[in-house]
Amino acid sequence: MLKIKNVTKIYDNKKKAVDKLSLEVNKGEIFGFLGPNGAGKTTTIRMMTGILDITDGEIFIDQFNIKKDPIKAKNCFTYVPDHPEIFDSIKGIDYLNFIADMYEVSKKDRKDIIEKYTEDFEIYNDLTNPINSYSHGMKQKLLVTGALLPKPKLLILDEPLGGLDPRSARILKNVMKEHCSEGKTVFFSSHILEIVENLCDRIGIIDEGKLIACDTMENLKKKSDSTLEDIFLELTEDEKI
Amino acid sequence: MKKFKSLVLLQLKDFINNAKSGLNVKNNKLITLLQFVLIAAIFAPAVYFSVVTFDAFVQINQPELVITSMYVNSIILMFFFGLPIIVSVFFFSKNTRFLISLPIEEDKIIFAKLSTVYMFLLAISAAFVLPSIVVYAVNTSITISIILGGLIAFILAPLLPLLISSLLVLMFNKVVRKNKYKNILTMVGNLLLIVAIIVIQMIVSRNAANPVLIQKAFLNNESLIGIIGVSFPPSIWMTKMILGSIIDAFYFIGINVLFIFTLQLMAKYFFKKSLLSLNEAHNSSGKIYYSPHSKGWQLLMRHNLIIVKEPTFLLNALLTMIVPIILYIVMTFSGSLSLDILNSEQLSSFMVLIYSGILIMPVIVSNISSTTITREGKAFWQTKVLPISEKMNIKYRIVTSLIINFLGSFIVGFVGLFILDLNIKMIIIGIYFAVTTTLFLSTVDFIINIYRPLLNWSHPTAAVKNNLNVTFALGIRFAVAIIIFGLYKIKPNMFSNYDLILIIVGSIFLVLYIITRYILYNYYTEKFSKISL
Repeated sequence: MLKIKNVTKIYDNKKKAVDKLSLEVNKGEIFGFLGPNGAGKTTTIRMMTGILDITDGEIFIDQFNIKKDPIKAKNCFTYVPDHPEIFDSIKGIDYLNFIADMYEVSKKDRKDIIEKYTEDFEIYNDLTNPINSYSHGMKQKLLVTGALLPKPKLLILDEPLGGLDPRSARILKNVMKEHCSEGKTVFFSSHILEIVENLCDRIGIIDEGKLIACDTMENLKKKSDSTLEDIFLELTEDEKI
Repeated sequence: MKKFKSLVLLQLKDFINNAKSGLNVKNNKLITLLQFVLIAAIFAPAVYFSVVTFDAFVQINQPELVITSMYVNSIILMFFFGLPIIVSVFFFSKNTRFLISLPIEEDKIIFAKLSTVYMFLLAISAAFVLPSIVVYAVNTSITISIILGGLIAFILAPLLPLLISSLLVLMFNKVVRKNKYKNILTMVGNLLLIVAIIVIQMIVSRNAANPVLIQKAFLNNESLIGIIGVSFPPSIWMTKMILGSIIDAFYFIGINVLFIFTLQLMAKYFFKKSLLSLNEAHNSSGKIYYSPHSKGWQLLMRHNLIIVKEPTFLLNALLTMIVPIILYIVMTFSGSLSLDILNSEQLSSFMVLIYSGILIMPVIVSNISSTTITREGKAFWQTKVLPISEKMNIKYRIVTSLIINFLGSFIVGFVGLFILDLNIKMIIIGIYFAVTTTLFLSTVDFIINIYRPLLNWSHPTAAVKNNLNVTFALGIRFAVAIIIFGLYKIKPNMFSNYDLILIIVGSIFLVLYIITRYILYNYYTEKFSKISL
């Protein structure tokens, strides 16, 4: 579903944020992307989504090259950023209809999906309010609802659980599982190791722009025989030594 | 007191830094230079006006009236300037919630916020009241009473307009604090301010050129300044205080102390009605709908709403459309321009040029297209992840600018139909010229914005006004004008038929538009796709 081949990102011809990163995410998988602050997680995700230009390498989404075939690739995924910086003077319902129109979601589907998720996330009654009156968590829920509207083959989420209350976090986790059970894929980055450990089929760990581990939780544990936290700390520390 | 002092300092620093960031200049030396230029630009005409007014009053043997008139003028000006600042400080400030949570008395928070407004008004007092006192003292005699009284008048002058403006804002607080009216109010306030500045500027320049007018204004009891001067005792007390009257000094200081007490009494009410009310939940309004629209329509709406929902952008766009009308109204009312002059025999042969000039005015003064990408700021990523082509992404941004510019041309053109003596041929030529000029310049402006997208701005003003893109866009217009003027100088005969020359230049713009459009959609899409935060 997602193939990253030898991708490098250099900012201003100086700072190498991502260094020859390669990984593959299969259909129906929940893939957790881990790494310390400034490791290159968000940069990688931004290149995957076409927000950032790729210095070197290639990214394929459902076989479509994000650089050469951006529209077909973008039709396959939706994205929820870590900071919900959107044009927020419009109402929540305007935003959702905007996204639905962009992905050509039918009237019936958009009604069903909007009602389902906004009621689950308890923001249905706020949809007629301007987004700039929402809390951080509410904005995050709105963006997640928007990302689920086109029923994407690949759902990309950057730190999706930050700002969500425990109930909404549980709902989102269930949504991610449900999404994968329908044969679709979820790629998300997180700092919360416990969630990654319990939710993901496979985990990738990035540090200083390089992928230092990528495997199932079981296989990672076989190598170290400890918790994900220990493995994470061990791996990222080793890199620094 | 220490807490209050820190609070005031914080407010002032916040106010000054916001003003500096609005300039969008990183070089501190340049900021200092700009500040000096700005101060000189305000003080020079004010000092000149004081000198001219003084000379006029000398003729009627009442030179001290220069202080009275300048004090009254500055009170009116401070009132106009004070209103939008008070609204901004109390209803738009981002630090309000933070300040409410601090262990500080309510009235101190209000006073700290008002101190920002006071400092701004004091600058106006420095520009108008101080020069009149200095001019009077230099031309008569420099005494201790003038120095002391002058200082007191300068310091206390902002209190009355501050009080009146605050009361007025309080009276309309229910309207002001509503989110949906905030943008409209800011825009209307800014428009009124611009009109007030233009009107004052024109009156000042006209009066300065004609001192007899000032004499008439004071001798005629029905004139505005005459009425206020006579029925506004503080101005007379202040003048007499400066001349050495102890009893008038007592009255003037006393009434200002009363203003301070009134402001203090208002503080708690102000706190409740402005700061606390902001935290109240807003009721939702409108309906939930699910009707589909085309991608193009949604993109067009998005780019238009980015302008409409942000007062700074809206004001900028609106000014683009109506600046020629405002100028015409002001010039007509000030007597600088009349229908007779516009439709006179001498100007009839230039009518097609005048009308074409009016029609292209929106795109000439506008910078809409050169800041299209910049306006989106950090929300720019949103359209980049959508399944739409770069061409489509660019297209609807340009179409948004074109709609605004054409709407502006339509408004001024429509008004022009009623003012100017036009025939069908002139109208068609004018429209052709305006359409081709607008298409060409908007496309070029957009290319400028691709080169300089500037998505990280702290204040909307930095995005559309204090942005070098605007200067570059104006530079291109200037260059085009120089080329046309050069051609006129080289071959003046070629310009004898205005209809023909407008059609030729319009056609050249049309060809240039087709070329720049081709370049934009074929060579700049990649550059556009590489724009990132």
